[in-house]
Amino acid sequence: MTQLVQNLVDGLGQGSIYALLALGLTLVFGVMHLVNFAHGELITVSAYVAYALASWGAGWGVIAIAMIVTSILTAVAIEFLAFRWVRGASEFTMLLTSFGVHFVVAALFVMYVSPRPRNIPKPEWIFATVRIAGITFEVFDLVTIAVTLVTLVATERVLRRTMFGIALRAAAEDFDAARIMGVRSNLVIRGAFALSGVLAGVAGVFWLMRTGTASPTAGLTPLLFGVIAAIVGGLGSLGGAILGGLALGLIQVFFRSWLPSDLAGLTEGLLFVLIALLFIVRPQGFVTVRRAERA
Amino acid sequence: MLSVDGLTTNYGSIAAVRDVSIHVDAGEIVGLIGPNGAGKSTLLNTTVGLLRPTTGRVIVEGRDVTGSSPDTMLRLGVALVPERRRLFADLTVQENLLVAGITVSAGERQRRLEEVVELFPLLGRRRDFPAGYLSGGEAQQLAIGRALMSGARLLLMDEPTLGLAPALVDLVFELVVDLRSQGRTLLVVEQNAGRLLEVADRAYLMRTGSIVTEGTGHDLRSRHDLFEVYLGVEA
Repeated sequence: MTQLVQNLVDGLGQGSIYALLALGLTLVFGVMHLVNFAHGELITVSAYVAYALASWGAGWGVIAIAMIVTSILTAVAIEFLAFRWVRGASEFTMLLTSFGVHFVVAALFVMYVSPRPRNIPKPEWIFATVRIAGITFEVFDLVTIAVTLVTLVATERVLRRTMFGIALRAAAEDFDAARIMGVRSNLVIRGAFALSGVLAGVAGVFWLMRTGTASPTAGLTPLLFGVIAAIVGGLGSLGGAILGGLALGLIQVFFRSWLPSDLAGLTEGLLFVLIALLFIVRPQGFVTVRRAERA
Repeated sequence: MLSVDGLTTNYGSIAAVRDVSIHVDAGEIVGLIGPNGAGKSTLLNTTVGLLRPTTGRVIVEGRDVTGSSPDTMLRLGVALVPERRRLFADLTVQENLLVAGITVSAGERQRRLEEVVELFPLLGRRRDFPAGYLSGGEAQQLAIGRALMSGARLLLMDEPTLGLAPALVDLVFELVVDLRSQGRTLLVVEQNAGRLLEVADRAYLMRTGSIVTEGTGHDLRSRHDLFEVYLGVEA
């Protein structure tokens, strides 16, 4: 029982990070039909900013804020420099563009910083534990879950209560119809990238606190899980993305905990087998997304 | 109010609209009829800036606005009620209306929202329903309500009666006449040509991308030959 609750919290903590990434990916996919494989670069770039700040002695409070701001700016810059030019192109063209952005960013860090990972001191409290009702929890998991919850509620508010949010949801459902209503393409596309930057920024902070390294491909692993979570969730469904992220985190933790130790290395492999099975049973993912016919 | 001058729009190498010139004067109901694939929707979509014309000009109240984006056209008072309505099914009725008022100030948007809800009490009762759950008639009211949110004085309506039950078709035509009497101007595309010509002041007949003929609603209704040749229906 104790073990189960611990795994649950651990899985939700892990899954929170994936959920934030998947939600950002889904927001961008909604307005552009782009599966953005350059989404991990938001974490990579902000991890280097964190490294620079840490080496000047900045604390994690400053670093966290700087990472989120960097992530937003990077998202908007990538949209402006790369994706703006392939708007309306085939999904394959956009996919290749996003791979291109990933490789260019990684190459820039290899050339101008170093191919070797840079270490950033982890905050001390991430190793702390707390006992609640006789069960020991990692403080880090609880903080991740709490901050994610606050971020998700705030995002939900923006999407439901602001004109920008309503326009974004309208454009995700039927982009041309939104334009007919007077929604400006630039507004929703840049807005979606900026919002995905906020979410990736928050995810990046927790990811970096846990891994403690900035490297040219630092964003690749979280990106991959984010993409999978978004697809598992039904690609285009905001709730599905969150669900997909949490499910992914939980499955990962439970596999690691239940598999015999000599098989633990197969966690990721088994995870993918499970995902393959899901798609055989439910090819549309957890949540079915209604898509407008393209005129 | 609106004139389209020598407009050509290509889809790839095919001209869907070829050298079309039409004009709509303030306070008119103008019909645009013709068989499927005649280019009627393309003409409307190009006029509001969803598509770019290859050649030709779009002029609104004397200003050349060719190639302007849909939001600019809305600010100039030209709104499109698109074919098949294109409601945002996952958004509520109120959100559908709000997003259609995105080009006006927040205060103005709220005022118009109340006006539209007053005009269509059914929508008022379903404010917080997802638009996907509306019946055909309610959905059409919402589609027209959205066009009114922008405060448009010229409404381009693309097949407003498509898929509606006969009783609702009557309602839509009544509404078209009502809107005109409120001082709005309408350019209406319809398959249901006979009904449209009863209420239209003038109409254009379009076929394979070009205007074949134009005349008053009354004139065109008496041209049985045109109906048989171009529309394949009995008038």
